[in-house]
Amino acid sequence: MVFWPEWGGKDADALQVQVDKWAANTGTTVEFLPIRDHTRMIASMSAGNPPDLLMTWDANAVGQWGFEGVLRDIQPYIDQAGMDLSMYFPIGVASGNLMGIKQIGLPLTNYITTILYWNKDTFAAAGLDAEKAPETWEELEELANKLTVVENGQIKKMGYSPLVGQVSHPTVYAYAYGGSIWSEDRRTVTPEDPANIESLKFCRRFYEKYTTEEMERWDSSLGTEADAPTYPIYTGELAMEVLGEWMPTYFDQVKELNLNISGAYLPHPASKPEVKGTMGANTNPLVIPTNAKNPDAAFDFIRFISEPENSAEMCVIVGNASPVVEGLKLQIAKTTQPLYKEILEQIWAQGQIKPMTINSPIGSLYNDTYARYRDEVVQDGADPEERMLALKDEIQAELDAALDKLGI
Amino acid sequence: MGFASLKSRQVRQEFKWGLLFITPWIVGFLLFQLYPTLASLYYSFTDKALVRAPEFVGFDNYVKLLTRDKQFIKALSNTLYMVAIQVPLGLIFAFFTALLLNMKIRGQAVFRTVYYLPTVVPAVAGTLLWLWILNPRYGIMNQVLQTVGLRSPAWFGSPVWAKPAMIMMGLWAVGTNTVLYLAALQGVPQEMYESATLDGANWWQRTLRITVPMVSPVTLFIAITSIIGTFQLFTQAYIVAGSGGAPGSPRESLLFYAIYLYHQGFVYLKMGYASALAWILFIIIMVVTLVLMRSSARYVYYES
Repeated sequence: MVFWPEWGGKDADALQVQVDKWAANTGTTVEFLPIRDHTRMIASMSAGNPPDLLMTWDANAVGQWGFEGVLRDIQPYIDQAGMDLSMYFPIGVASGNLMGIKQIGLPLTNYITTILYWNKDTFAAAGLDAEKAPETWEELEELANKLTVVENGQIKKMGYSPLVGQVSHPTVYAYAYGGSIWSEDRRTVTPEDPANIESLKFCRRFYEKYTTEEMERWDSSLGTEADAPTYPIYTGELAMEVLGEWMPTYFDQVKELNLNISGAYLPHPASKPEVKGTMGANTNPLVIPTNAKNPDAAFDFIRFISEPENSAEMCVIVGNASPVVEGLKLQIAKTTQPLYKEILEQIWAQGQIKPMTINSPIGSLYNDTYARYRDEVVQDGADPEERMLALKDEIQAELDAALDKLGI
Repeated sequence: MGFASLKSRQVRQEFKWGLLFITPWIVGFLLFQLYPTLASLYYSFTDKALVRAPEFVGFDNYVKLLTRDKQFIKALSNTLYMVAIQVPLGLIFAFFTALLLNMKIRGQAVFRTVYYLPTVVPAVAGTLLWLWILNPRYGIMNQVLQTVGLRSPAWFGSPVWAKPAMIMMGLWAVGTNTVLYLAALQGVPQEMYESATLDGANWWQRTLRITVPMVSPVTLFIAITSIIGTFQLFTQAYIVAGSGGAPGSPRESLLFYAIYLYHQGFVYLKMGYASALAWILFIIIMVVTLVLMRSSARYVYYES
């Protein structure tokens, strides 16, 4: 069985442990090849000579490949193995589903459930209640302005920078403002949703207040590696930052900083308390290419890694959430980092988690185009309503054409 | 058996051996160069994605690119900006660096090594290094600017400064061209300088009237290879934009032709459209190269 996961380092090592275990149990020879970019996966599928099992972190790519017909429908395998998909959290199953047409993947892990982290020391230094995170976006904005220090026109510290952190995916603000970028049936894009417009206006206000030039200077000077002491939430350069649930798993690597950081649900609009705890999450889907030579073996590994013990054992090391309900319970029991443990318990028990990526033939194009139009609004001050309607026109035409071509 | 038939047998024999030896190259050329090239030409007239049969669409891809695709225009203009500014600056920089390294001074070998070293740094590592050098608050460049009372711009974080930063990074790695110029400088006969000096020519006149024309064939070579290389600029801009941002971030200022092509082909899976982009790039590069070659007689001096 040939398996190419798009992982590296400790994550790939943790996965290999499970692969080796499965290989020993079943007497199968496995060629395990972690790769760094999925151009190679595309080439192999396009050439008709793919591996038996693939895993990429790019859920958008999986959707596009699925619609191109290079991935197998795994429903027959699921039925044959008698697997009950309610063993997974729903978003993991939804992420592997092509608009209800077929099931092309099952989740290896769930990740990037977005959390608002705050550096308690910066709150205390500014005379604010260090134990209380803002609950609404209005509160966050007010606190952010209080925590921002500007001297001689130069930013020295910021309470919050709206485009820094794990906020690049359009669903992050959309969900947290009670909106969405898709219609329920996924056949209409809805970037003009009033909730999205509100979120863009919120982001814009920071660039207006502190000027785009100064914000560009500030944002591009911040550290980007969570395992380095220069990470802005560690240094206090940013008092609050939106990041994935994985963040506390790096605390051990920067022990010397004695970090005093906590995490909470993303804020919600004051007028929409029901949105509290709404967030998106992504999955790392396992998929079987159409031309795989050993699809049965590949699916058997999917089944194996979905067993709670195996999933938990791997996820503890990787620092992503187990997509299996019982697996997550075991993972929480094995987790020692207190903040990470608390986050896993809270978000998966009480959070309203929606899929961050919808399988679509135009997923990547939508994301990239959204980012381009968002920057025009937030950084250059373009009219948000007008830009989002232009985006809708552009992307809807692409989506309609793609679905039409696929006969869907 | 006459001499003629013996000879022709020998020629045939040699021809067979020749063919045998060249076969690996011919097979490689046909399979890995000619076939993909012709296939991409065909795909550029189709709606090709991954495995679905390509659907013939005539000139649709080309028409869309040239009439309705604003990002194509943006990518092309960004790339032309780099060609128009980075290539001449790179030539001048490499030429004067070579002149300096050609001086007979102590430690000449050390200087030559130092100036060549950046060329052996991989593009990814070099880009990451420059991201630190140009960090607007902590970078060395900011500290240098502060000593003269200036503030660093956002460099790679600003749509205004990203391309100048990219050019600066390109100038840092002109070592290969400097070496080519150095080699050319060794070939300029010393008698020319001596007689010019006797005639009263100063350093600048000697450089302009002797050195520049004498190394002009190398200048043409560097100009053509640099133009081709700059049209294909990819790695640095890809690293700078990082993941998560729109392609060519900040604000499409680094959306170069190759970046746009890559996204169309390998991210959005529009292989037909990407093939059309590749062919337009090929035509642009071919025309520019032809114009340079054809006009070179006017400014390139070949001693022979």
